[in-house]
Amino acid sequence: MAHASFEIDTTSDAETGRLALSGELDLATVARVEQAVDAALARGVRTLIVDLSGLGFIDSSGLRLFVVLHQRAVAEGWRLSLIRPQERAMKVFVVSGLEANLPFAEKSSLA
Amino acid sequence: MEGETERAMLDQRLAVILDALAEAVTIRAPNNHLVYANQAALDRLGFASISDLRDADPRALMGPYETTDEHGGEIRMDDLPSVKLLRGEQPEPLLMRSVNRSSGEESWVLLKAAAVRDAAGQIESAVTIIADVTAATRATLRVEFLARVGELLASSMDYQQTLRNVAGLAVPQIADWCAVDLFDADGGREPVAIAHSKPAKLDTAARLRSYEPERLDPAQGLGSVRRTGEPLVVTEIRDELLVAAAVDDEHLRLLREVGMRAVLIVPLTIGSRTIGALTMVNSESGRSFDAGDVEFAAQIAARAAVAVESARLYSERSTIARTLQSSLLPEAIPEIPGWEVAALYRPAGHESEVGGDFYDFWDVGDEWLMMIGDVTGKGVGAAAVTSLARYTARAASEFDTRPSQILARIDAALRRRPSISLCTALCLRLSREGATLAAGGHPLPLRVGEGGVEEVGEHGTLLGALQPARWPESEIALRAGETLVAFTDGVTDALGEDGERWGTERLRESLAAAADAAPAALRTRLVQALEEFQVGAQADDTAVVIMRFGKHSPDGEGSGGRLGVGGQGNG
Repeated sequence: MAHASFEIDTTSDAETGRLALSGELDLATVARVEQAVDAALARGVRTLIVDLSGLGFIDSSGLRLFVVLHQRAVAEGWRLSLIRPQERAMKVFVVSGLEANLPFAEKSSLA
Repeated sequence: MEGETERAMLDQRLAVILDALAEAVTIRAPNNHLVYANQAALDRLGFASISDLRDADPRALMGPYETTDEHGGEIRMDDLPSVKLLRGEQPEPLLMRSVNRSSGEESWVLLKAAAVRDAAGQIESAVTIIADVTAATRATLRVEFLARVGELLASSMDYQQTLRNVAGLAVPQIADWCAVDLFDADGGREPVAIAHSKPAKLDTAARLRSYEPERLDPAQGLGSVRRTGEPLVVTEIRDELLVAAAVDDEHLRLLREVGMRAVLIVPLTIGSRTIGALTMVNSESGRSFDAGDVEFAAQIAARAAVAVESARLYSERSTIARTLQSSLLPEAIPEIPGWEVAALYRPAGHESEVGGDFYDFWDVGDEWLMMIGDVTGKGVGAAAVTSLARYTARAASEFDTRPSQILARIDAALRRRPSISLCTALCLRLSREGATLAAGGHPLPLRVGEGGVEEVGEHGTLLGALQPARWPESEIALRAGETLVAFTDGVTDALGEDGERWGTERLRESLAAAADAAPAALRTRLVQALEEFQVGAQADDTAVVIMRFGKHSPDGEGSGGRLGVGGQGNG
């Protein structure tokens, strides 16, 4: 199966973690994002910015990941911000009706 | 004087109206005595007239009933909303299960109380409205119970442990005791599980079961269920029956001690073979079994049989989930007046752990509901969520057939689960006039017709996910010969060469190229197009439901001859 490569680019300072995702986020790759999130939180990060703008595809397990992360952030008291993916990958959020429920932010406001 | 006459007339008319209500209405005075009851309340309490009721000791009124809350906790008079209200509290409505001690009949009632105040604002009395919610409560409890059973069955390869868990779950909600026996080919039996609502009674129950012969008597009890493959229900157990059944004095003593009120035995069946039986006994609760209980026990037994057989045949637990999952699809596509329908279901390759797609059809009066969905999540829990979604939808549609309301009920049921459970669903109501739809996080269907291929409806929120949620409902106008195509994301996410996805555009194109085709032909075209595109193993389940709106004549005759093109494709 030809899979577009998936990568996570992590940059963080003491307070804020940034995960820039690229490629395809699906069942095969969600676990890597979960691990990266756990690692960032273990370092004491209080704000996590997940940049989806490099993603070409997100499947329903990717969608589930963001629902879970959002609920975890609320329950555990840290802040999650999502940067919008390209239009094609954004579709999964539109179809799910969760565009307004998930913490999407403009890239510029987080720069 | 005239005012008083008018008042009396008004009272009389009010009493007539209240007596005509199906809901029981009572009025309680501050001394806790009931001072009024309408006819339904008198019937319920077993009084001939209001004056008899007034004289009665209020504590004795609950006497004919064994009353508990939904968790099995005892309800006393002091817990009643009206009594709380008179004590100055602000009571919540109370859901109460009551079992009539003499008839064994179980009912669920919802008690709501409101205060009647005098001019000074003092509480003069408390009015209680008692609504019978037996059907709705049972439907809800059963749906949730079946989902938990599905989960249990899929959770372990050790079927003996699994059956013990199922038996444990059945008490006390369904019966006071529950036991499972498996049969071998020569009429022998193996007792696998027994559970009792009062653990102290387990010992008695086990001793009693040791009296049952190793070789079953085909004429009675378990043996007769094994022979006939039919459920057996005994709703009245007289002492003579016990005397006749007892082997010796000790046996009779045990039988009497248990105080059985009703027994229900349902077979565990695989094909035409009866591999075991589920026995339920009611004693302490005084409950009997009705036709609904038999049907419900049969549903539990059907699931248990699948689990046992799968465990015997296979060693992978994913197989059980998969088997349960495909058992959740309808066996055949029904004939829907005014519509011609075909469906496709292709399960993902066996190496995948992606949870399942499903679709379902059922009728609600003159109209039909269709639901297609996709349970997000991995492994064994998915089948349980599918089952919860499907049965919740069916139960919900008994009260309200609006697609938006059905999705709302599924969303609520998923939220009540302890872990995050997500599900997409598209619900369509099909009539001779057209279709009404609501989507919950599910791709919108495509309308295929002379005007081309276009998405119809409005997006709604993924079920079980986040609030606030909304499920806008759309009426879909259709011309005769136009087709609605509902699908899951396994179709559009199918992977081709170079990691490319099939996508909505390719789906539209292949539908447009076959716009005039009948549903079954359209299904064949879709499968061909998908298979040509796809490389490697199919990663996700794929489900498609194709519904062509009929060219029905004004006299109401549908395009009957062409209907019911059903069946499932294979991957």
